[in-house]
Amino acid sequence: MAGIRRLKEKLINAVLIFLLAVVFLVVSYISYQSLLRIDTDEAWVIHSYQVSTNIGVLLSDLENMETSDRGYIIAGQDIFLEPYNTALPKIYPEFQSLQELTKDNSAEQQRLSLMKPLIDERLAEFQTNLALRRDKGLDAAIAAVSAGTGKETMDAIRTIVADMQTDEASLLQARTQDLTQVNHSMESTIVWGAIIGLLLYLLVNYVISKFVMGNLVEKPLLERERQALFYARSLIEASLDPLVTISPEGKITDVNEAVTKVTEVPRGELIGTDFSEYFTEPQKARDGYEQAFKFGTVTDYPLTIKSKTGRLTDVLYNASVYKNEEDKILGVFAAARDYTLAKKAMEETAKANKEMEAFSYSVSHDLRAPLRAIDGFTQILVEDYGAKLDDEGRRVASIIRASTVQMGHLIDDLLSFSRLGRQEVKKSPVDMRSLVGEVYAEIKKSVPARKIDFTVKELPSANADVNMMRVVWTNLLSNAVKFTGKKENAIIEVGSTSDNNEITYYVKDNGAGFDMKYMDKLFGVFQRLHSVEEFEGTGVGLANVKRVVERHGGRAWAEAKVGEGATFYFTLPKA
Amino acid sequence: MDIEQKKKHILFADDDPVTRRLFGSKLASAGFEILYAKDGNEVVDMAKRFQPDLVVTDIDMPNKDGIEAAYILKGDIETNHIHIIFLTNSDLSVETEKAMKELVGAEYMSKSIDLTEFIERVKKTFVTPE
Repeated sequence: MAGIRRLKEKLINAVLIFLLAVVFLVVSYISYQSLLRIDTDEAWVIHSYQVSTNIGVLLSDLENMETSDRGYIIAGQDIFLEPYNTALPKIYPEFQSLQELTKDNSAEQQRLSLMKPLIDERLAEFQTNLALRRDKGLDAAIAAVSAGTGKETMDAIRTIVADMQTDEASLLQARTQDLTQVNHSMESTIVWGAIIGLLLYLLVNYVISKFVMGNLVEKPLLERERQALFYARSLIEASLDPLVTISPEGKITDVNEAVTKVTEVPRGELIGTDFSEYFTEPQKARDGYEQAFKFGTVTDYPLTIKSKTGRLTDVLYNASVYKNEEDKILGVFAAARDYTLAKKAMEETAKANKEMEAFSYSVSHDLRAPLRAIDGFTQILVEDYGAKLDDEGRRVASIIRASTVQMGHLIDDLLSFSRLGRQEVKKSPVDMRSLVGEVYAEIKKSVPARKIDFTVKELPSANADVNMMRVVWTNLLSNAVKFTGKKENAIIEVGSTSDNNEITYYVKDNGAGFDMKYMDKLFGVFQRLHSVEEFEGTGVGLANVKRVVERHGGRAWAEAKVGEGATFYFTLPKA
Repeated sequence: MDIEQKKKHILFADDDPVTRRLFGSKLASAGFEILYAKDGNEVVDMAKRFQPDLVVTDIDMPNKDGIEAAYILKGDIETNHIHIIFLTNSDLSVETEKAMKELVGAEYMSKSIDLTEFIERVKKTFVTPE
């Protein structure tokens, strides 16, 4: 659920950022286009000005020439020709440049082509008049001027120039207007783009802060959430085990009360310091949390905490990485368990167990002698003095003997149980198949009349103590034989299964079985699920099986159903 | 009774008087002559002095245990012909029992053995020459 919500948030976020980008791109494009247009428009405005100016210059040059020409005619002095001579070489280039400038404007071109013969004519006239004045004198020249068409030509030129200037002026106006418009639209595009962009930016910010940052940003908590947080924290603080969180850099990021107690350092001073510096072996501590980061978890990692005052505490560390909702590893959560006491208790238990073994051995051993005497003297009593006893006396004597025999068995079994606990396990390859055959043959000898369907399936060899394995098979097989005693067609099957680590052997029978609710009693010492009258035995056999199997590093258990038989299993680790 | 002409002498060693009395009375009623020893030292001394036909000894005894006494007897030319039977409550492993038979040439019987069977086995040691 959370994953889907987060995905949605991310999608919304991505869409908003995309829109923001689109707005900026559109604004930029429009602005760019406008700028390009402004550039062209400006070029056109300049062009119009140039055309008007140039045409004005051409006209004024022509007028200057006219004035200069007249002045010479009147005065006859060369000095009046100076402006004429200056303007003359400029006329055609100016005309040409006008032609160039107005190439794209057919109306202007047409006007210019009309103007060209007029200019030619006027220049020729100037030339003629000047020649007349120089060669024929003032009067001839004045006469020529008066008779000539100079004024009409000049007027025609002026009209054309005026037309052109009017045209250019109107063009200029149109272009300036356009420019203003483009400028306006660009302004509004930029302003609106900025406004939309800003709004989108604010929206993105809002979305990010609401959904993405929501978990990190402090926000008012509901009362229930607050209580849940307090509850969680109180559990952490209540732990008697020192709890610590460690950053990937090995710094302590959080601790509980127990840590401050075991280190004798206040909380504030612990946080941010190196985790490893609170141990007698800092490198080993570093290796520990690095292992946790590498493999995700570390269990029962032994370390010794050294407190500020030098107090040492033996601890076992259990550490594992913790992650955020996105499965990113944030750090290692490490819990230490003080096992100073446990260590002591374990040592004491081992010692007590050993003492118990010695005790039970010597008790059972020392019990044998008086028991032997009771039995032996009762036997002597019956044999040597039986004649002096009446029937009841002899019956009592036989009860005494039967009881001592029973007690003898109990002691023997107790001894064997004790012995199996003390004896060294001497492992060697054991041919289970032949051992089972041998043991079964021995057991079968004691019940020659019984008809038993006995099968042995696949039985791999094991690395085990052969004498102890004999105890296991003897107990399991004699149990199977014993508890199938009341069946017409007794079936006993021995077999095994195995995996990579261990071999599981089993003995299956179709005998009396037992109620699975007594399973926990089954492998205990002197625990019997059937009465002695029903099936004889002391109840040590399966305890022996369990003890032997466990000393070999295996497990023993059983499955059964009342009246339908039982299957006993035991495992042995592969060598 | 069946070996009345020449009664066989048996040295029976055990630190427990009740055990001595029990086995002693049984052996006596089977027709043997019984000598009693209370520890390993007495076993060695009496065996040398009285030259019994058979030594039946406990293992766990004060001063000198049964095995040590047996070694001394077997190592002494005067006593090394005497047959020895260990009668003990101690649990001997199959290997130990075998080693004792080979090294000391001694037999092993559990004190829990049926008394009748015990007498049978004692008698057998005289029937079959070693």
